[in-house]
Amino acid sequence: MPKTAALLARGHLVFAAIPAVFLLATGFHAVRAGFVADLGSFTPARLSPRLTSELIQVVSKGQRLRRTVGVWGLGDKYGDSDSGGYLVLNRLIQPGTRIQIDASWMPEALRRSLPKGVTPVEGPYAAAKGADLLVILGTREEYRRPDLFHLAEVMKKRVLLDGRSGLDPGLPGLELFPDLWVSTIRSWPSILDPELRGFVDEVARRVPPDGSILLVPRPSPLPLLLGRWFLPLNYLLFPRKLYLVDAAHAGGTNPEFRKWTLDAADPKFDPRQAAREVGAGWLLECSLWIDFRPQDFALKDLRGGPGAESGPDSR
Amino acid sequence: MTFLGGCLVAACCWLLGRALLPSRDSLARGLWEEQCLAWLLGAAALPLAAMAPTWAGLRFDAPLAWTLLGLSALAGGIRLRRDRRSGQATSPLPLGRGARVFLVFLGVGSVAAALAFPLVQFDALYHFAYKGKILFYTGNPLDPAFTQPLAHYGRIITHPNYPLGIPFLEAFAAHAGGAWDDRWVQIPAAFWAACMPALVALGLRSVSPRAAACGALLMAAVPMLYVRNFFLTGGLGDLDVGAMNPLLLPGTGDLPLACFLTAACALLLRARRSGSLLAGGLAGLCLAGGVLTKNEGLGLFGVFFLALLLGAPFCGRRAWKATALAGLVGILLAAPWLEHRRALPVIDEDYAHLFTLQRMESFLTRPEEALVTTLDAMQTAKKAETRTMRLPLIGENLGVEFVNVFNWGLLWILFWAGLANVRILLDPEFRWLALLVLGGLLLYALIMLVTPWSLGRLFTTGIPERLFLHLAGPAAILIGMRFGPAAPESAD
Repeated sequence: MPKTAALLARGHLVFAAIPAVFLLATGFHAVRAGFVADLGSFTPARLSPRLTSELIQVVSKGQRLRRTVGVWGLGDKYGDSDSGGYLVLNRLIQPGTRIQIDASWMPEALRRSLPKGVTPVEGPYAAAKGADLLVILGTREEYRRPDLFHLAEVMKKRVLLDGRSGLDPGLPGLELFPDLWVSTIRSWPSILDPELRGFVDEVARRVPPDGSILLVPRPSPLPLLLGRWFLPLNYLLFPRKLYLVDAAHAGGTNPEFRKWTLDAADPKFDPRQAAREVGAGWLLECSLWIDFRPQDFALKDLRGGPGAESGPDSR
Repeated sequence: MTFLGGCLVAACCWLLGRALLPSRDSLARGLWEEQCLAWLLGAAALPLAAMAPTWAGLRFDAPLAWTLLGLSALAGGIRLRRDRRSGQATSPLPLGRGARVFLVFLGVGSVAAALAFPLVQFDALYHFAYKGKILFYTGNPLDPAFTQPLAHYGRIITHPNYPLGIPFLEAFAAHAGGAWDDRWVQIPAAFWAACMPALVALGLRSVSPRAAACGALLMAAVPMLYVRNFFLTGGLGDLDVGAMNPLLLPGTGDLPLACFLTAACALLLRARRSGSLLAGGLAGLCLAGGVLTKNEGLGLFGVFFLALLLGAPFCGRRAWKATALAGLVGILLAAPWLEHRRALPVIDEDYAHLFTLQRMESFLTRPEEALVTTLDAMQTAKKAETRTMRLPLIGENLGVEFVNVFNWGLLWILFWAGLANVRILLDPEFRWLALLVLGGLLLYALIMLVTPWSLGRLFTTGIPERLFLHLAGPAAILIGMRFGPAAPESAD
């Protein structure tokens, strides 16, 4: 046994190559990026087939039998023949499930390589026809800007899983689940978002360090898993005090945040009254979304005096 | 200036630790182990020293921070002078040139990697650094920023009852530097991975210098000290620090807790053999440091002594004196934090209330679907998983992690191999360490059993590997005790 153990111990040392490579590469990357996080070098978003298929199961409410799934595209930025797309297809294949994919753009070789059980059809709306669920895995222009009314007409159950997060959430008659997908592929930490940083600079310029801000979330069209932009805002703007309705759930687990996005916005809510309650001199109205968009945030000065609430008081 | 402030706090940690160390004659050690242990003791003692007066009502403002730093430097300076006069020598480890280069490369590389980028990761920012900011700007561990998340219009904070060890270190650095800086506040807490192998070596010295050298190399080669699932999640392709989930080095609590537990094991092992009460007391300091680092530290504190009681109950008066002192010091030093913690709100993880027989029985006998309290139907928990019993899921994930060589090399395989010998189990110290590791694993399995999180979700956030990391040091010491004596004369 000691000899075997000595052998194992020596074998264990081989794995020191992992940290060695990691540390060398980190050093190289840091020097190249100038010791700051370089957004341009972040790994492009990639498919996560396992999570995607899990989400598909959630979205389709576990219905496995006699289900029709439409698929647009096969991959991501790495090309439409990305292997991740194949893995998603393979996971979608279930007894009784019909999978129809838009093959109009596919070269013959690619069509032949489709997994058995996947039916190639001509055109995106043909793929969506009669579908209970449409899974968008491609980035082609026609997938990003489809005729949504037509889509709603041809689909059976009108549930979309948008792998590209490119669709407008306010769709008539369509149930869109963009964040489910995006939650698996965000490419950089929220605190590095350049638009967020710019917005923080502006708020910091206007609100003094001892100021208090009440964040007022507008109703969200969909439950979100990502989009807790109040966390980096709160961190970066400290010592300014940020208040939020039901902050404990907003800052809790992801499912709690998800529920919060649906419950937090109260139509009878009087923001000025609430601001008075907490002693906040500023209101920050916000629509939370997966991406930080400065136009979703509006800062209002409640203290009165010149300039308060003047003009487009937001970025 | 903020850079210098960070360096100053790191130096003060080291000086304070030097002041606390037993003499080289009573606790033999090499120069490398001495520096690492000194810094670690200081990194435990300085936040504990700040916690006590702030709990008692003082503000953690610049004067208090500078006073504590000044006292640390003074004590360390006096000790350095005394050591120079005493002429007591250190005893180097029998490490060959190649092994030394290897250790220096990994140690220096880990420090450089930790400081190469500012804090950007979720846990490091919102669970730890944000609390450091509150301490720096307000000086009050009961500031409404900590205590008001539950109000109808509340302050935003994640895990308000997380321990304040790392935040205090960062706030010290900010005070010393005069401003908060997301990169340089990390300096006082950048040495964990570099120190871990030295702590293992320190514990194994009482077995043999060869065992100590082998244990150090074994620990240094564990990938999880530096990076998680590196080649599994994209390897070089994912080297965008910040986006890279596996980066463990900066600003979080798992690696520090692992270091504190390893140091506590090493020091108590030495104390029980030598009868050094000071070493026993320092083991207690390290355990208290662990309690002030992560909530899991409190659980491991209990497992540590329970394992001693069960594994090594008959070991002579000297050993028990050192053990009792470790317990006493640990409890006394951790008490201010534990008392303070009672005043903090609990948002989503209250394991003290979750550990009920009824809840455990429920999760053992019923599928998860009906029992996860924080979920609703819309969440992303896998449907398949929610219909699964938790116990097999936990067993599967723990089992897979033992053989995940990308994180652990062969560490856990060697650990299990080390246990496969009846004779060695007669050794009380070996039994203690074995029970500590196994007890820790059992504790974590129970936590997973009753957690309010969806297990499927939890397993995507670095669980269970981050929990395994806490126990890697004792496991390495155990492996060194079991196989170290048979290792070649020069570990190179």
